Amino acid sequence: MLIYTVCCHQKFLTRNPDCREYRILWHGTITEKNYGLWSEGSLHAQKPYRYQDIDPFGATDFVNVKFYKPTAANGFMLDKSWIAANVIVRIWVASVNYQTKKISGKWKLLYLGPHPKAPKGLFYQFPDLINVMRIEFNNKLGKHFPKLAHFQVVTTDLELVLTMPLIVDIPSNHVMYNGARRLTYKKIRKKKSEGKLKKKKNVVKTLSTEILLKIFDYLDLVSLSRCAQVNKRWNAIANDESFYQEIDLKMYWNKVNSDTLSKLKKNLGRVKKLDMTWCNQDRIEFRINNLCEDFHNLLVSILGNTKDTLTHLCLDHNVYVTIRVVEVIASCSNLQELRLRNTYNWVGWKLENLSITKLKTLDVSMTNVTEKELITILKNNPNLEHLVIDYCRQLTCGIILDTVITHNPNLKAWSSWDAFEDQDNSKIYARFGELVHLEDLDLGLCAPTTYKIHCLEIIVTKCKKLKRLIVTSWKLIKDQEMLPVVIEGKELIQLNIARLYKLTPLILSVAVDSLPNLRYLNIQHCCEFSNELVERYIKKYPNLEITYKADKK
Amino acid sequence: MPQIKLQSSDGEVFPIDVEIAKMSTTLKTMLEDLGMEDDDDEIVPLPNVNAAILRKVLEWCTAHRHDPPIVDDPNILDTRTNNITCWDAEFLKVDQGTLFELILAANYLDIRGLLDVACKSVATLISGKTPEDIRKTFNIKNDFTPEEEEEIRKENECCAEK
Repeated sequence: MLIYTVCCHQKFLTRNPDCREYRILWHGTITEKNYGLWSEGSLHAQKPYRYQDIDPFGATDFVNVKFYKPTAANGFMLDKSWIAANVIVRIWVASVNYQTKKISGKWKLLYLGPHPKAPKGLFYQFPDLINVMRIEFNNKLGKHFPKLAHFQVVTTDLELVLTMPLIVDIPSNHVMYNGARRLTYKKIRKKKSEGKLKKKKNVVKTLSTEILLKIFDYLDLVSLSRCAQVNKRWNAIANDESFYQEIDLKMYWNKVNSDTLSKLKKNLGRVKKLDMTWCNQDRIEFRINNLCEDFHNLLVSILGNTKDTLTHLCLDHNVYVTIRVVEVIASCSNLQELRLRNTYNWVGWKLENLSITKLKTLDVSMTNVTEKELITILKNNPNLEHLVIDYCRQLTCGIILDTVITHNPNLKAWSSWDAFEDQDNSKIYARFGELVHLEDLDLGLCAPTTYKIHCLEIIVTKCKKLKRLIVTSWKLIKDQEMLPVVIEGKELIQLNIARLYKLTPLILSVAVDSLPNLRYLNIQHCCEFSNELVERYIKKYPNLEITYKADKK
Repeated sequence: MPQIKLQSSDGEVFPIDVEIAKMSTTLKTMLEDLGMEDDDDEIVPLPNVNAAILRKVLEWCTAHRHDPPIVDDPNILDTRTNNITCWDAEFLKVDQGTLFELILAANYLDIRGLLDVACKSVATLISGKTPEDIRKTFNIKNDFTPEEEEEIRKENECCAEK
C-alpha cells in the first residue's frame, strides 16, 4: 500500500500559520488558494452576489492536488475528525493530458461531505486513472483544524478497496428531502379528501405574478431554468430581468463552459454583478497559451455588452483574465468592485483607456500588477475603500501607501499579507496613521526589519476606528511596542499577533482585560504563553475566541 | 393589553392583542389611520381569510411577536439564505393548498416574515425537481407545443446539465 500524505510545504509551514500552500510529498503538488478563515469577517471580504444560489455545503475554497503522472490511486483516506467536522465539502477527480494541459473528460464528483447519502467510512473508490484531485473545503467549519495536513491519498490493490457507490450529481438542498417527505404526506391526504384535491388543482393559478416572483427569488439558477420549462406563464416569470442582475457562477464552476456561456449570454446581458470565480472548466494549468478560444471570446463579448451596467465583477482564480479581458474590464465605467485574485495571466492594463473611476473595492492579490498600473488605478478612483494586494511582492510599500494617502483618503481596509517581506519599513508603516478611516489593517508577514519608529503605536493612536489588526510574524516585536496596541486599540475586534515570539504573558492579560470589543485573538506560536494561562482566559471570557497552540519549536 | 377582534370570511371572531395584530402591516395601518385602537368592540372583517387559515396566521404571529423587524439592507443577505427555523418548518408542515392560502393571507395582511418563510418553503418544493416533476407537484398543465417545449429545453439546459 502506497500512501501519499498531503502535508504542508515546510517553507510555508514556518512562515504562514494559515497554511496557504500544500504539496504532496514525492508524487505531486498541491496549490491552495485560500481566503482563509481570517478574512471571512473583514471589510473587504466578498459578499455573495446572488444570495439565492445556496450551496448547502458551503465550500469556501479548494486545493488542487496534482500528480505528475496519471495515477492509479484508488482510494483516499481522510482523517476522521475532518469528516466529523465536515471540513471537506466535496472532492472531485479528473485526468489531465499533460501535453495539452487539458482535462480529458469531465470532473467527477468523488465524495460529498455532509450529505446524508454520502458513503460512510474512510475509503472511497476512485473511478479512473486520475492525476488531479480537487478538494473543496470550508474553512469556517474547520476552524479548529487550521491545516489540511491529515489528508491522505491511498493507493492499494483494487480488491482491497471497498466499493462505494459514486454520487454523480449534487443534490440541491438538504431541505429538499424534507420537501419529499411533505409530498408523501400530502399524497396520503389527497386520497382521504377528494374535495381538497379539487381545490389544489387551481391553487398555483391563484398566486399572483408578484408572489411567484418572490418565490422564484429563492431559487438557484438551475431550478430557475427548470421553472422556465414548466409552462408559458412560468417561463415568462422565470425569465424576469430581476433574476439575472446578480449572477454567481462559482458554484457551477465544473459545468460552466463555452456552451453554457453562449446560452446564458442573452440573460447575462443585463447582469450587474457577475462572479465567475473558479470557472476554468477546460483547464487547470495557469498558462497563457492554452485558453479555450470560444470561451475567451464569449467572455470578452459578454463583458463588452455589459460594460455600462456592470457594477461588481469577480474573476478570482480565473485564467481567462487575459490582456483582452483586462482591456474590456478597463472600459467598464460603472465598476464599484473588482476582484482579480490569483490571475497571473494578464499582461497589463491599457492605461490610456482606463475608464474605471468609481471603484470601492479592488482585489489584485496574487497578480503581477505593476506599480505603475496600480498607481494609475488608485489615482483614478478617489473613493476606493478596500484595497487587497496580498502576495504582490513586486510592489513597494512606500510608493503605494503615498499614493493611497494622497488620492484615496477614505480607505477603510488595507490588506497586504506577505507582500513586503523583510524591508526596513517601520517609518513607512507609521504613515498608515494618516489614513484615519482605516478599520482593517493586514500587515501579516510584512515585518519591518528594525523598529526605529514605534509604528504600531502611531497607527493605533491615529486610526481610532481600527477593528482588525494583523501583524503575524513581526518577530522582533517586544512587549513595549505591543503594549500601546492592546491599551489604545479600544475598537479592536480581531487581533492577530501569531508568531510574535518575544511577547510575554503580560500582553495577553492586558489585551483580554482592556479591549472591550475583542472577539478573536490569534496567539499561535507565542511561546511564552502557557496553555494553562490561555485556557484560564478562555474560561473567563467566553465571548472571546482565542486561537493558540503550544508549539515550543 | 388592548385587544381587537378579527372576523374571518366564514364569520368566526378572533379576539387578539393589538400588539400581535400590528405585525400585519395592513392591520397596523388600518388601526392607526382609523384611530380604532381604543374601541374594543369594533370587529375588523377579513373577507379574504377563512377561519382555519386565520388561526394558522395568528399562531405564527403569536410565536414570532418578539422578532426584530425585517430591514431591507442589501448588505445583510444572511437572513434570506438562512434555512427555515425548526419551528417554522414544523409550522409549515401542511398540505400544499393550505401553504398557498397562507401565502395569500400573508400577502393580503402584509406580514413580511410569514410571507418570506412560506415562499421559501414553496421554493424548496421546487428546487431540485425536473420541469415534469414540478408540473406534477403543483398540478400545472403544460401549455407548450412539443416544438416550443424542445426549443425552450435547449435554451435552458445549459445550467441544468445532468
